[in-house]
Amino acid sequence: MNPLVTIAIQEAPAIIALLRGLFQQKNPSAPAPTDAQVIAAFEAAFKSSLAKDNLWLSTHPEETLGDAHE
Amino acid sequence: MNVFRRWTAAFSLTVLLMGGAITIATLATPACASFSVNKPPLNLSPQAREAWYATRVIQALDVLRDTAIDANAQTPPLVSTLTTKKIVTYHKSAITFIHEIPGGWKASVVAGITEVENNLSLKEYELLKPYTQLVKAALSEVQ
Repeated sequence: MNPLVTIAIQEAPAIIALLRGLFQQKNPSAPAPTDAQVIAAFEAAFKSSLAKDNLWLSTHPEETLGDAHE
Repeated sequence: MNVFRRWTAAFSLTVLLMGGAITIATLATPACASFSVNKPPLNLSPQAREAWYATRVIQALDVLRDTAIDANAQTPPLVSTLTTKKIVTYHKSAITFIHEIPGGWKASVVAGITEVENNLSLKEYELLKPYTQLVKAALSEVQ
C-alpha cells in the first residue's frame, strides 16, 4: 500500500475528531424545546410586555400630551 | 523526509475532508430548515407552534415600543409623547389580541402597524422605520 495512504488512514481519526469538534462549536446540539416550555415563554413574554405598557401609560396620562409633533 | 510526507498526507486529507464537510453542510442546509432560528422546531404541536410565532411577534413589537419610549425620553424628545402613546396603545392592543385570539390576530396586528406608520411624522417615520419593518418581518413569518 502507498505509504501516503497508510499515513492518511492513520491520521484520519484525529482529523475527523478535530473537524467534529469545530462543527459542534458552531452548531451546539441544544435539545428542542417542549410544548410546555414554548407556551410558558409566550405567557411570560406577554405578561412582562403588558406590564411595561401599563406602567408607561400610567405615568403619561392625557394631560401630559402637549408636546405633540415638536 | 518522512515527517514531510506525513504532514503532506495529513494536510491533503484535511483539505479533502473539509471540502466534503462544506459540501454536505451546503446541501444539508435546506433539509435542516427546521433548526433555523426563523422556524419553530418540528416537534411542537400546532398550539405550541402558534405560541412560538406569537412570541417572536411580541418580541419585535417590544423593540418598537421600547425604542419609541427611549426616543421620547431624550431631551429634546426625538419622538413626541403623543406618538409614543399611540405606539404604546397599539402595542398593548396588539399583544392582547395575540394572547386572546389564537389563530385570528394576524390581520388586526398587520392593519395596526400600517396605521401607526401612517400617523407618524416624516421625521418619526424615518427614525422608527427599521423597527416597524422588524415587526412586519416577524408578522410575515407567521404561518
